[in-house]
Amino acid sequence: MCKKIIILLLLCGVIAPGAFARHDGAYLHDIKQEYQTPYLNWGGPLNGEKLNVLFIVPRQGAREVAELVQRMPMEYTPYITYNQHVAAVENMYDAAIAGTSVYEKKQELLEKLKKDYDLIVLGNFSLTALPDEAQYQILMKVVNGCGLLMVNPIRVARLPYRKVYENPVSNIDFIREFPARNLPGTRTAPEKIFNAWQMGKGRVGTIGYETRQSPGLSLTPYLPYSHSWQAEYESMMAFVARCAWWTAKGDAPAAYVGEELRSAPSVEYGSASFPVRVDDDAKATARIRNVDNRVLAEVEIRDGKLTLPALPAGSYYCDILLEKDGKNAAFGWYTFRVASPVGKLVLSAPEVVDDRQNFSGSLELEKSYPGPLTAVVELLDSPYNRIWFRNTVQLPAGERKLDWKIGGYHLPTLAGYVRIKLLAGPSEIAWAEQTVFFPDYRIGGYLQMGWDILPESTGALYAPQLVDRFGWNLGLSHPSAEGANARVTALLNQRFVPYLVRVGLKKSDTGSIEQYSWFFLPPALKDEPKKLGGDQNFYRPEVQKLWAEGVAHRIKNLPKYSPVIYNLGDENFFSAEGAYGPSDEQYFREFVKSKYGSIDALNREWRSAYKSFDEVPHLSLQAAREAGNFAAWFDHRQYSEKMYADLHRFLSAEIKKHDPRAKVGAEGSVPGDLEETIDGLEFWGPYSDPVEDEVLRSFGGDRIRMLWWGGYMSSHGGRNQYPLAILGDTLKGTVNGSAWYSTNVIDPSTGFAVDYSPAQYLKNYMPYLDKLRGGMADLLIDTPIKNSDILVYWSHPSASARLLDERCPNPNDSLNPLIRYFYQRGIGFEFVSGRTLDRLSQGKVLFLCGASALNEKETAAILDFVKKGGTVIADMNPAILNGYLRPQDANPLREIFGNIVFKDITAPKLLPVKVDARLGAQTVKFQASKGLTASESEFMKVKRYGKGTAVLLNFGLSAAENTADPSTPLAGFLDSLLRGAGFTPEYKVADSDRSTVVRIRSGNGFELIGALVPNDKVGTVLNVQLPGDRYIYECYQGLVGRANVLKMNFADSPYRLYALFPEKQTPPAVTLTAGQAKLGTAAMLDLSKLPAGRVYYVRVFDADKAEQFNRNQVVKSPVAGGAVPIPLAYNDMPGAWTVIVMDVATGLETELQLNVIQ
Amino acid sequence: MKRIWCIVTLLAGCAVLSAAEPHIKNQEKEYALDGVQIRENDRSIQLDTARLIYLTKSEKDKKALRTGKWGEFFFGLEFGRPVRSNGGWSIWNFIEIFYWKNQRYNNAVAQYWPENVTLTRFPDRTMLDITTRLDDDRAAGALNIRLFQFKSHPNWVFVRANFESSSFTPWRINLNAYPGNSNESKERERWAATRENQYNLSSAPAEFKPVSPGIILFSKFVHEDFGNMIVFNPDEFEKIVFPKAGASVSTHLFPKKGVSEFHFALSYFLEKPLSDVMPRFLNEDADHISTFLRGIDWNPTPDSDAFDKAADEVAATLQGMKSRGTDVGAMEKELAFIRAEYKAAVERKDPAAGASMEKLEKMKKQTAGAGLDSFK
Repeated sequence: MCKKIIILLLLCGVIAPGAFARHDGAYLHDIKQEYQTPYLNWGGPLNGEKLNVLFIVPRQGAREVAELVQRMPMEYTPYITYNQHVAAVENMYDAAIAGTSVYEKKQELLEKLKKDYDLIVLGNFSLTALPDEAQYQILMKVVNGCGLLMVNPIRVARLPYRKVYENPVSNIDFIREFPARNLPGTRTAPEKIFNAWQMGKGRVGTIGYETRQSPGLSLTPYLPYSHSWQAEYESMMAFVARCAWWTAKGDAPAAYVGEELRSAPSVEYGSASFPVRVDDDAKATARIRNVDNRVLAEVEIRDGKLTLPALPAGSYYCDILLEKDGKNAAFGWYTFRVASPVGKLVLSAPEVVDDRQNFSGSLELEKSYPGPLTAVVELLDSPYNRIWFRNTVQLPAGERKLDWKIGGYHLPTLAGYVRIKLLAGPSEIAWAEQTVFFPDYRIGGYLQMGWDILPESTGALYAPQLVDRFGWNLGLSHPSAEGANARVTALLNQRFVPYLVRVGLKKSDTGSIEQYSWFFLPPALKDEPKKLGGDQNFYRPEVQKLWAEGVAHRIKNLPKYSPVIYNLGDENFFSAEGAYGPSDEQYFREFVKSKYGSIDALNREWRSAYKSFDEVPHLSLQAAREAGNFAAWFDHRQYSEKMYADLHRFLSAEIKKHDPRAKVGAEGSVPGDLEETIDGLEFWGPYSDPVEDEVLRSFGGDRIRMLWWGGYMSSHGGRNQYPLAILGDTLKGTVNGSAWYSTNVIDPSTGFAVDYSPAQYLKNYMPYLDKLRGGMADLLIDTPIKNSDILVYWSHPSASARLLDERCPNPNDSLNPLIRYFYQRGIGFEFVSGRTLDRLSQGKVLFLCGASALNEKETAAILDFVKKGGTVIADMNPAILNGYLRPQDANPLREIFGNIVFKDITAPKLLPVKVDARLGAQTVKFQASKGLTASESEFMKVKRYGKGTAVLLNFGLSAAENTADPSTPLAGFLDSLLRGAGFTPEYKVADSDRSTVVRIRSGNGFELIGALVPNDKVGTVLNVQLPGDRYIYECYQGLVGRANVLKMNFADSPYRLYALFPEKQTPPAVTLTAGQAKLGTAAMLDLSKLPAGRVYYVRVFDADKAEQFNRNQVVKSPVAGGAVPIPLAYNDMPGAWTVIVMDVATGLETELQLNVIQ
Repeated sequence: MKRIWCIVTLLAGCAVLSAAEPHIKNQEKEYALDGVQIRENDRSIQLDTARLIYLTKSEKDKKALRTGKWGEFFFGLEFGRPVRSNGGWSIWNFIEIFYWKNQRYNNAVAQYWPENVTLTRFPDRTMLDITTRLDDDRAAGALNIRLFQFKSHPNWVFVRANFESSSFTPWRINLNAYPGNSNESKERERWAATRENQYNLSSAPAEFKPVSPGIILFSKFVHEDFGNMIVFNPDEFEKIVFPKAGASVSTHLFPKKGVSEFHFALSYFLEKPLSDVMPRFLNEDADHISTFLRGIDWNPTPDSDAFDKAADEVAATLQGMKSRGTDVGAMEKELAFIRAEYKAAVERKDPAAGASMEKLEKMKKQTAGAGLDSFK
């Protein structure tokens, strides 16, 4: 009989802090005042007392605390929860950040609750979601006199603690210092929004706005984003500040009430006055602001009366601020309307204006005006409110309709407002406004994209940081219904990148293909995929219809909002093992018919005797391989890959039906046959793979190429000390944009802190990222990699063949070390493939790595290449299969490599490798303890053919590199091979770490040499022998000197970029066509004297010396017309502006002064 | 900060734990077999989401285990096992650590009765610690296998194998799995993939020098939506070999010279398309888990400061309740008792300190609950 023993578990104490090497979590835990947004002064702390407050708010709502503290300075302690439901989550992503676990967050709160506070604010987070200990301590603090304010954008749930609600407080005075009803965003009276109870010595207050949840909220209600958002937000912040004060301290030192103003009165045009009762000993000031949150007037309230200045028709806020004994004594606001003397104005304008064309509309007045009117037609940009167009039109007395036109304007944003003001003489009497979208599909050079978009509720607070300061002006997100979220991002000048669909073709239970999820279908079609019964072969018309419906549903309205790229998904995938469903029989046959052209051709490759394609079976991959029918195996793989590629192309075409300007692609995705997949797409981002990235660079042309890199805690180099990933990829040329995962502050991958300041690790990157953005990346993108006449063969069939039989080597086994070598030596190279055989004419040396499967055209071209004088260097077993993957009976490259035949060879083995050979006049030596080799003795065969040479190494480079004898490192071996092939590098890079990347580019009259070394090589120097004396400039820095050796000094950085010139350079010869410019015009920057092929960074500073980030521009010479405008808005700041133009290559600058006049 | 090592061992007890709660169930018995008195312990060790099956048998009073016949020794891991199958990580021998002794390679895991099997719960993880000697002579060293399951990583088991010996060196570590199922299936192909390469193990063995930290084991044509993942530290191993696979996939990791401590993270995927899981794992998650694995403190230390803080929090709560008229005399006495008990246990280096901490945690929750009740 077994004895059962239950073991008692012991719960031990906490583990020591720092038990994991985790990332600093300050950016998820703290709220600082480092990043300031525009706000109004409400007089400072009431009674001069700063409240001491504990804020408990979710990550996404944390910014609101900073906003409140800007307006009412206080001492505060933040406690940031994961979201509005839980304080912390346990997952592998949060776990990488210090202080985020459930246990740690609990300890953090209990520690913070040891302090005394005037007030505890639970912003959009329930008390009952806190640990019992914390709840109890908070309630006890209230009993002892601390205030507790609970805020929720909908309603504050009643606590299960009866005693909290025993003593309600009514008739709270400060509520009368706000409108009696309809606070912005709400439909409820403030008395109902704010409720309070006395418990012991403390008060409990609740604010429930009866609006809705929206990311970003903790203290304010949901306010739909509009042109009046700023004023509404300002007002609600003041309301929250007063609720907080009252809950902590009770009544303010003084009070006021304007009973008439409380009811949001409407007054006739002209001056008006209202009674306002103010405590005798307080000084009262009224501040009038409009719906733009612009302060129009400040007036003192005297003798209980507020006299308003004459205001044009419209809605206004009247802030009232009391001062007593030199201290802020109370503040609040009311609203009022000024009625229009011309009644309601109806402004008609197009919703969308394409290509900055001229446009027109009308304004209709409900009532005629007895005198003549002047209409001022203006175009403002969103969200900056800069006026870029202004025109006046006379409206005769009695006229009720005005037609207006706007043309020849500059508008630098994606949306704007047409505003028409009506003036009677000098006085504005009424105005109207209409939102207009200006789709802008122009893509500059270097792009910066963030994962996720600006949240509607606090996007206006985040945009100045994310979009303006950092320039991450592309945001990827799923479009919401009718493109509503894209509309908001356009208004905030962020370019929306719609995550329209995601392609995920998996094998279905029936052996067919099915899409992993149809989340993008309209609700009415959600059940349609089920009806397909797991056979969702894309070629079926009914399946294509569903995809098309999905696109049509998701793309609604998006073209209005400048979707600069349409994304077909992230981590797209397909299964080559599926696609054996009922419908595949037909489509597979169609595929092979198209591929082979005739049944004879198929029979030749399949070694079969079918009479027609109707007889051709669709063999499973396994059956095909086991039958030795490699061609059939490959046909199915290609069929699957083509389906994947065709689906992407189909979606691209569907999108372009709705938006002909669209640029479409996918990112971070399995490529299939890369060249096939990207054909017809404008955008592609593979996974970070050294070979695939280079293949995409070489074949991708000017496609948008981005890899997600920043933010990742443990991968993609997202948290290195330096931003090595983006520096490396831009240097290599494998990307032409930066993609950052993520910009949503709930995500631990965020680059920004919960208060929207940059996280420390991002701050460390800023010097590099700013330079990349400010022209360095464009210089790299626009300056082609120096041609070294070296080509590398890319054979997708060979890459597939390695899955089929071990005799077919993995091309990457040699490609990876080869590419590393090229980087190490600064040798440029391009890929060549069966689709791009014409490139062979541009090279002198061709590497064939794992090229086991080559078709007739390819082998003929290679033979021709050698015959004409080229050198081909192969690793193992080239061309043992033909392009259909059928084993060759005789090797088509036998004339240069010998007759290597599939059936006669065995799988390569790991064996010692030793080379001692000659190539031309060059002795070539190499020794490694292990190399994957196809021969036991002959490791390098050299054969002359025509005017050229063929080299067969008979071994792969990967294992050989790792086990190379120190006396013959792989790089030295490859050096001697290239020397033997007649290649002498023009720039000789000294031996360096094998992770070093050196890239040399050839510009117009200059060469660009960049290098990136690994972290542990910071502090070292890398020398490059130049072909002669050169003037050496460090890009963005200036002249280094003149020498024939470039000493790249990595003293304090792993990255260096230099431009080399035969002549000394001068600062950019730029002038302003006039030293002064009037507001509403453009100053012209004359760039006509600049050399072509250069990149300049133009920075603009206003009269306050503040850098105008959203006016800075990267300019590439030559520019059309020889000049670029620096437009000045009508409401820009006049004074002495400064324009600095930097030649990015040389770092030389020219500073110009611009006198901006009214 | 003052820290005290708390040596936590197993205590016989009678706490009733749910199946999901980490615990060890020992089934010990003695019986005669073919005239030999046999001692057997069949342990079922429940971690957070994984279960270890640890069966040991020996002749009574002998430390060397009987392993000659199937069913005499198991060291299995039930973790992500597909339903109605014996697939996933081997439930019989998921890890084997071989070393050379007596003219043959011996699996250190299956040599001797364990000297220590300890299950410990920390706030962020559950720890299983198993130590077994390597030779009849205890001085020859020991193998310590430590498993962690973190709350933050419920789909991963983290393993450290510490081969501490001046007499022997580890030769090879096998990690054994049956992606999908353990049966023989004619149609199925066993595969392994790293970021650099894919290997059809049904067709041929494979050998490579490790570069990236992730390996995914999967099947094609049958059980395609199931598989197993390994994250390891490439710096610890000279080479990795996959023998040609039949039913099982055995990953053979050959340590570098001089390395005697090895770290792994093991996981699985269930009913998910391989074509989605594989690139994500190899390109992203493996790096993430690798970084986590490298950062683990494998010797977490209980912290007396934490006990004192928790006790002070309870005292503060009791004080608050007292001020609101609640009689807390009995609870104050209990707190004083727990404090004294803990202090004494720490001084004695007695594992009962851990039990005191647990009592305190319970009391903390109870007092907070009682305190909140006073507001109801």
